[in-house]
Amino acid sequence: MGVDNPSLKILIVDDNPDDIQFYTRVLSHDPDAQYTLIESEVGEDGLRLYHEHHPDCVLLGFNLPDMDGVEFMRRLAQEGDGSGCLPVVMLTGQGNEAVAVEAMKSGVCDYLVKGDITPDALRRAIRNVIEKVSLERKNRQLTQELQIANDGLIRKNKKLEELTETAHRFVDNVAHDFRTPLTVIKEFSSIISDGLGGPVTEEQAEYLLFITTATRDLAQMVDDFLDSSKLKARVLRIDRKPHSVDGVIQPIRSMLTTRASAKKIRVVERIQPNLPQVFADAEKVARVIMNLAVNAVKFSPESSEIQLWAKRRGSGCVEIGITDHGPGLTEEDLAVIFERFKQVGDIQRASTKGFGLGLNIAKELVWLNLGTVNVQSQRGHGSTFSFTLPVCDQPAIINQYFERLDELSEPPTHMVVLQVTPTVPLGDLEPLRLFLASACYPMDLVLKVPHAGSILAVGSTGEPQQWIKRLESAWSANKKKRGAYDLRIHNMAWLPYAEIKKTDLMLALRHMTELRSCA
Amino acid sequence: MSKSQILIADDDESLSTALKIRLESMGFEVVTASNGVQALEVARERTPDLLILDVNMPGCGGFELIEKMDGIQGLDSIPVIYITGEATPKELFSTGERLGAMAMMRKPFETDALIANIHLILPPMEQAA
Repeated sequence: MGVDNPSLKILIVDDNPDDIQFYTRVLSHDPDAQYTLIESEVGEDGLRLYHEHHPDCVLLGFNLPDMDGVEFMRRLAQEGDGSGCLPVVMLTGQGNEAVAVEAMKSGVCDYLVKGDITPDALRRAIRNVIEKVSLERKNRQLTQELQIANDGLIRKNKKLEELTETAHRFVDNVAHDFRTPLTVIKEFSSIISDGLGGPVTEEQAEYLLFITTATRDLAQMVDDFLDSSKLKARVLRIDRKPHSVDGVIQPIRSMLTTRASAKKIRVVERIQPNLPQVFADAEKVARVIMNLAVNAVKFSPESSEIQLWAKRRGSGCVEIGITDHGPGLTEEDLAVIFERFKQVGDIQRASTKGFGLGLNIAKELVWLNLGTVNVQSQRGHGSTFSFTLPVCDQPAIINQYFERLDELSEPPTHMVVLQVTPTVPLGDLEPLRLFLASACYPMDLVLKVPHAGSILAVGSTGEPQQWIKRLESAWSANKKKRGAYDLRIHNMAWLPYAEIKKTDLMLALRHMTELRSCA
Repeated sequence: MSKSQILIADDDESLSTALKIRLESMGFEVVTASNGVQALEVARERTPDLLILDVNMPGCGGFELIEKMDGIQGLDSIPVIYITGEATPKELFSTGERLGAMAMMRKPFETDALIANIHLILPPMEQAA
């Protein structure tokens, strides 16, 4: 390294003329390098010269008239840029190991014992020092660059989080801004059609019905559109808990009949008796059924019949479906039917409306409910759209959860398993579960474990501490609203996705329950 | 018998107007306000029998208004129906329930559903004007 340098600046700080002469002679006869020598006999002057010339290396005698070598090093470090290793070779008198140790501690790079020094040793010491300092500088520079890059990443990450949050808020605001005018349109059309603004002719009443129907469609499209953007931005919140199948269907039953009756279509229900409870977000499942049904009505001939059915499928799932007597689908149709913004076939386009988002959203919402979508259809023989939901049973839920994660094109890198326990025993864990469901991401799994008095939260994260911190700060931000207790969050496992097994979660659940029963 | 009074607070005046027309046609007396602060003034003056409140209003929304009314004799026991245009009303609904809401309704709601909820609180026979 020193070899490439045309001339190395060496500062000699020593008051012994014989030593100085020796160094000068050795260095001027070095065949591999050229040196510019700067000399000083006193420490104070040496320090001044150091700052003035920035030498590549200092040869420092230990005993100087005004200070010793350790003091010199202390001053040098103090006045320097605090960059650690200084390019100094300390030269000490013979038989003084203590001084040598002290010298090394004070930050010199190397030391030589006067009297023993061979020309080679001196040259080598100088080269080593220069190389060492240069490496250290490079190292420091790299560390600095790394730090800067890291800071940049942290900033970007934070920005990304803010953007997601903004996207979430924006979508919610749009929803709010659309819903109120929609309500106003609906209210005034019904006020007019009910004659509250004066007499209405039969013809006018019929027209008003169009307004009402169109407004309902628009409201549905707003919901579809919002769900779709939220799905894309991964900010849709999902709230899975036990429901009966009838409890899911009940809220939309009258809406379904109304929509179908516009085309004089009958909705026939075939629900298998004694179905187990399902683990799902009822509102989202209702939207799926509604979307499938609206689709079926859209393509069904007038005065036909659509079937809404539900049955047990295997030990772990319930299947819910809609069967119509519409034109059916070709194989090409089936391949693309769930894509965003796609509506199938040219003939049908004239009579269809909406963004073509309905089926895509249905599929995504089913996926978020840990189920799968199935289509069975043949040109001319109607279509059956159906989907599964896990039954409300821990092994079934966990099984479906992992099957859905396995289907991802980019599975998570890590999974973390948390046990969240309120510091005060709660009779009802529901508010806490609801909080966690809303604070977690859609593909996280939140399960109440009543026997353990706590909640299991499984999420995909490479950074469990960050996740825990996020939960804690979200909790403390809302603590006042939710009750005067804190959360104890216990990190039960954190594993690479490829290594985590369904059994790990079952074990975690058992462990949580047993721990409680021991206590 | 005097008519039951309903106070509607929504920052969208066309919506409160629509609801006012509908409810007046059913024999209710209806007063409106466009935010929580105004609603509180009206409520102090008139002591209505039912509040229909938008959750989000500039300055003071429905929940804040109810918190303000808490402990005010005569006002803190008035039944409330909340209406909201929020996209994700679940959290809101649980807050509403905690604050003792008689009903939470998401816009656009069915008029019949709103009327059914009102009738649970103010039965229709009392309105026979």
